[in-house]
Amino acid sequence: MKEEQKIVRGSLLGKEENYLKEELYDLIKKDDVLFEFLQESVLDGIWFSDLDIPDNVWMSPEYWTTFGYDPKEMPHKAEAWQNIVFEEDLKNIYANFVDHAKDPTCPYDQIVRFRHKLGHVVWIRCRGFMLRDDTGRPVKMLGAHTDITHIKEKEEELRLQTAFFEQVIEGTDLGTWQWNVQTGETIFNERWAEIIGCRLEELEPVSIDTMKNYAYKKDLEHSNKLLQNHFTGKTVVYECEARMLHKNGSVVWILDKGKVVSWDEDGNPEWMVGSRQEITESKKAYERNRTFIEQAPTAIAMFDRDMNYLAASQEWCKVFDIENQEIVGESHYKVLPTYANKWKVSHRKCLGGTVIKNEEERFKKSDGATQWLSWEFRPWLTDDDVVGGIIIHMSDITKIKREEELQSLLVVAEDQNKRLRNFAHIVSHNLKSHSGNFEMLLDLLVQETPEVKDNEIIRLFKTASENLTETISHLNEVVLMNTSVDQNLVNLKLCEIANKTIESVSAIATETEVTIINKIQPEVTVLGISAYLDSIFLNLITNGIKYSSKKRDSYVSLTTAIEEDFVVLIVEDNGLGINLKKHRAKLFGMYKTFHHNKDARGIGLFITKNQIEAMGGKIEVESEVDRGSAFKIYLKYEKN
Amino acid sequence: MKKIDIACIIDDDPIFVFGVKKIMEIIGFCKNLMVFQNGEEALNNLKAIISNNEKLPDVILLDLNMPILDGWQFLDEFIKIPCEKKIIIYIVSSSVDPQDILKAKTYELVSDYIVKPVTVEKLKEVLRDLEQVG
Repeated sequence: MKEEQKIVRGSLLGKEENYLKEELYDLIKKDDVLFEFLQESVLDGIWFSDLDIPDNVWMSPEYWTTFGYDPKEMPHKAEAWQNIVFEEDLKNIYANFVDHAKDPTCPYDQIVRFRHKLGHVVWIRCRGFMLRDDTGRPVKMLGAHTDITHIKEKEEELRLQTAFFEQVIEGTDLGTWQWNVQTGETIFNERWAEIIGCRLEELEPVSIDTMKNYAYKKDLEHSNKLLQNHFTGKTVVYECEARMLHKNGSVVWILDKGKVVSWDEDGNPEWMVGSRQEITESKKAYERNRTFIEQAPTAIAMFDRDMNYLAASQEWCKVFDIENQEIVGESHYKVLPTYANKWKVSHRKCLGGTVIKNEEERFKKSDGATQWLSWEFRPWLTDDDVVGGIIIHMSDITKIKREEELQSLLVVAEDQNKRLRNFAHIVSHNLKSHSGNFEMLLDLLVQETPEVKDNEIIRLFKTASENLTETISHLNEVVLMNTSVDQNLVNLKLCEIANKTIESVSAIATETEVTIINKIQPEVTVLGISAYLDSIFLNLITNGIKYSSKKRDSYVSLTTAIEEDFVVLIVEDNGLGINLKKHRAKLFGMYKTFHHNKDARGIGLFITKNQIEAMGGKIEVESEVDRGSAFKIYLKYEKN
Repeated sequence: MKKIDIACIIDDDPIFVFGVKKIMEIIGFCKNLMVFQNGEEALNNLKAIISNNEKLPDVILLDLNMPILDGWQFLDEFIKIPCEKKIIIYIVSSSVDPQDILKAKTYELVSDYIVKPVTVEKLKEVLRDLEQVG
């Protein structure tokens, strides 16, 4: 069926065509107007030459207007066109003429240049054929001109442009690529192959897989992401730095830039073209810088002009508490909004080429803590001496600041301490004089009037006076002790001092049936003050005796141990013990007592603690009610 | 038993002076007594006594804490005065500061350091010491 229809239609068309053609041909023969219309509107000039008298040529008006001449002024002579034709092309014309004359099947068709009246070149396609007599001898020749100057000009333009781009690409050492996203078809230039150490022909047949085969696999994901960004219109130009595997096994860095140039009807990308530049050297230098910065022992970071991170040291992340976060490529303002926004103006100034410093700036961290930073913004220059971005150097001086504050506090404290000591000194001294007077006057009163001795008031007066004197003497002891004794420390044998004290309390010990056991190693020496050690031993041993338990055989034992730079003296008893839950905080306070013992004055442990601390030591206590107490006294250890 | 002819108290505290005077009376410490309220007053008067060739005290009870010239300053000035008579000086102070006690020992003229309050017993002891020296 189909076959038939086609044939019918074809024959119909043929018929119509034939009849119109015939009619047109008829009309042309009958009516000159048609012919004139044709030669005017279709052609850029026709000529008719008499081969018997070669000098005679008829040339249509268009013939001359094409070259800028007034047809009326031009003679119908061969000389007229020969004057304006290019001499080089004339030879060609004669050669073709001869060929065509000999053999009518050899076409007379050539491109000839004429000089326009205004001087420029007019490119003409000149076709012709010879009219022959019965013998076949050529007698006349008809020719037609077509002006192809604009095509020639375009051609030339294109040639120049191509040459220009080739030159440019060669000059910049760029690889080029064209890629049909849909079919995978690719076209690479020689340089593209050269970057990975190959010749183009080695890689044939090429496709997008050729690129993938030589790509560094880890970077493909990244480049695919960037491609998608471009395809979806997020980026105007696809730009990607990636690694490729060189033929020799090394890795080369390339920078690809490209653009989709054609899209299919559904809006999918079709052809993409681009360039490829090898950037291994600069990338290596950059990687070196980056590693250098990353490993720097100070807080330092490098940014591009848009304040995106190029590199940052580990210390930088520490200062700003950036943990487990990839910040390279991210914006400073996004990574550290609170800090960076505060510095925005400075960043801009720095990008203008100024170095900006701040010796100390206070910040409030997200956790509320105060942070002191000292920083410097310094522009860095590219190879072309333009500012490529900023290098920020940061020091966290919080610690130093805190120490400074502490130092000034210390000065205040020292000053206050001094005044306090002075005050205590004066108070104790003056009080002492007055209490001394009391005592003296009471003494005198009793001397002069012995009968008042039994007066209740006078007796209480005397007790009060004695208590006052005692209190003042304690106060005095404490005041004296707090004056620095560090330089006055001497080497002392602990065991000897202990024995001396034990001897002096032996009478009370026997009376109260408390055994005192001295297990201090005889050779142990400490740095201390003899009088203080006497007092410490006396206090602790008598405490042990005073607060012994009547329920069991009581003992007070003395042992020592070495702990680093200290000798630890342990005074242990199995006495009444102290409720530490209740009393630990005030155990070593002044005038604190914890038992209903009538001898307790509550000054012993206070003085003991102060004496120990004055000698650079410390005291600790462990105790359990009704089980006993153990005091650990840390004393400076003299090794030799 | 050799009695002290003239004793001298240099102290700014009137209660102390009153008390000591009483005790001296009770134990019959001396025949005559001079009292000065500070180091300067004492120094001026003693200088005058020396230049007039009058009788100097045998013993001085010297306080440390005093206005104008304190006990130390008095001592420093007093030792510069050429004097034939040997005067025995006791420092009588409330201070129990070991530094004061040590410092007192550096003065040849100072025989002892008495910590206030002064009692009958203490003064009797001084008297016994003086008799031995004398």
